[in-house]
Amino acid sequence: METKQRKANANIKAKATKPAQAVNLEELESLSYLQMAWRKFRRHKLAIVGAIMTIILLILAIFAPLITPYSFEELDLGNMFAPPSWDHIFGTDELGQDVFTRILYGGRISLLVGFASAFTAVVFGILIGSLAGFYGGWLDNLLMRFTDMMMTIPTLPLLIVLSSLLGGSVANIILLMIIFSWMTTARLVRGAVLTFKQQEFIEAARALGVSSGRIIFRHLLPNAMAPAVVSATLMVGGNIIWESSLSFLGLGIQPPTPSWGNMLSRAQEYIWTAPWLAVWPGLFILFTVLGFNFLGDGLRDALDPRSKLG
Amino acid sequence: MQRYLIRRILQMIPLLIGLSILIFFIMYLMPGDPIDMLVMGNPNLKAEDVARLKKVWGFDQPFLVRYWKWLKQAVWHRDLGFSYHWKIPVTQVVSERLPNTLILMSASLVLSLLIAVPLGIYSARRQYSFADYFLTVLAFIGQAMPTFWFGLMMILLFSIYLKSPSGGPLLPPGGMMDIGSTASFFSWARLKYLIMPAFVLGLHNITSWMRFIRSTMLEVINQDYIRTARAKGLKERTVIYKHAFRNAMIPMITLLAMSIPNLVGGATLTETVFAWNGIGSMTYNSVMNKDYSVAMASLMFSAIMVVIGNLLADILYAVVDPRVRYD
Repeated sequence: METKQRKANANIKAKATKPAQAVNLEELESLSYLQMAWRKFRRHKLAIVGAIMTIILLILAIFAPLITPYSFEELDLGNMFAPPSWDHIFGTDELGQDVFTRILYGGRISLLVGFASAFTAVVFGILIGSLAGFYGGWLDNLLMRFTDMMMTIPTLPLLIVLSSLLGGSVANIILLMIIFSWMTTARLVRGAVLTFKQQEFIEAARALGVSSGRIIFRHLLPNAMAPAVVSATLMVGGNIIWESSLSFLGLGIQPPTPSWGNMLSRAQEYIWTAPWLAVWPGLFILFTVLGFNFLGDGLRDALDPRSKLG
Repeated sequence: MQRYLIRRILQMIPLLIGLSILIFFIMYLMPGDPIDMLVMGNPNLKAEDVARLKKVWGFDQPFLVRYWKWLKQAVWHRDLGFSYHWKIPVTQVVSERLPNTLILMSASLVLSLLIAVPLGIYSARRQYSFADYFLTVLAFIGQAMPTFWFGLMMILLFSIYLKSPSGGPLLPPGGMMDIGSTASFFSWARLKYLIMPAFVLGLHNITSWMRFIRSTMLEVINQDYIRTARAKGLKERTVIYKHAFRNAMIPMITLLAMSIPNLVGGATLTETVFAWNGIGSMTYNSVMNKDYSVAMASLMFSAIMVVIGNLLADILYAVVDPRVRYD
């Protein structure tokens, strides 16, 4: 037992002290930041798996009409609750619609909501974070207290109320996701801006008479981009879960527009007779979120200038 | 320390007032009030009667006046209004359901700890072993899992595919007890209803705590005093549980408190999936029934839980870690 433990420890040490592969140092120094990041990303197994998963999903969603012969609205009431078969590989639902088809089109909605909300929320978060970090003082105080308050709000209960108030159109759901997801980015960017603001190159830029706006956009934000990109990637997955939860409760995307969440909401009623209705949409949510989480993890390591090329 | 505590508690008050104004404002924007609901059910009501009713109940007054009235009633008279759906005072609806939610949440916390702690220690002690990789993959999957779908899959597995020896489903797919049951709380007849919801609600905590315990344990295990303990010839069990684990657990306390806000959101979904009669399913039902005084109460409950969770996390952090300064 104990010897095993020691052996394991010795192994860890051997791993830690082994010189990071024979990399040509001169070649390393000539690489730009992005080239470096790309190299690290390529060697990150999980990141590559995540990227492949995401690409598969994008292809399925974009080329949905070419992949499936059915339409997502067409009813076939003579063929309700057909179990999975060659004609309907994931079976059919309570309206006789092909589940696979609805999953592909539902993927379009989920990915659209995920990407659109994450992108906008990150842009908004960058704006708030850089204003707070750069100007400091009362503006920083005001914006950060607001951020704190938004983080204290119980997200799901409020999402339920607001989506029943606004109605569940795709645009409204995206808007709600933006409202509740920009805060982490704002904090991260503020932190990054605060760190870099003190450094000499910013002082130099100021001494040269560069305007504040230019300092923010040209000198500070590029340095704060790494955490923003990572949080955007993780946010896509997170927001897809929020959207599907809302749609599951019947408050998000409304049928006949398919979404993975609203497919599951009716599946619970039929879980005894047609369990496949409950399985497939959820597996796709899981697959998608897993893909984005892997991707985000990989990007975090790749974009961190301190992490080694290993 | 005392001054820090008092200041943090005082800071809660403006935060809660701000949150309650915001929540009240959102509820104020909701279309239709209870009188409108009444009119829909009774077409004989005349327009002037409707106007009179609205005046009597104060629905024609401006936002701030209505907020002030609500606040005064809630704080001084502990009166949260009347539920138009259940036809009883809101406080009664809440007090019936609050214990159920607290039971579910505490069961979920205990279950999560019982699962996460041993698994976390195990993967730290066998870092890079097959079991460690396997648990890592499970943790990733657990993190990406939508709560409500995990609930559905548990129902599919334990209530539909797996049968109990007596022929029924192994675990009931929802509800809180057999109809008319008088079984005591800790009997199997009651616990079997609690297991699945508690586990589903705890899934995210289990996965993130497992990873967290693994990394803090690894950090502690490589410290000098652990090597000293081993060098003294202490048993491996003593080294791990007495010297390493106790220190690794310190940050866990804050993590426990920080998980409360997530539990509030998770409970809404879990309780809805498992028809658990708590505050979470009350939030959902009240919004669907446009029962606004109940919805307001449940939103305030969630907000208070979140604020208390954050406060506890901050305070415990300061209590446990002497390096944190309170000013």
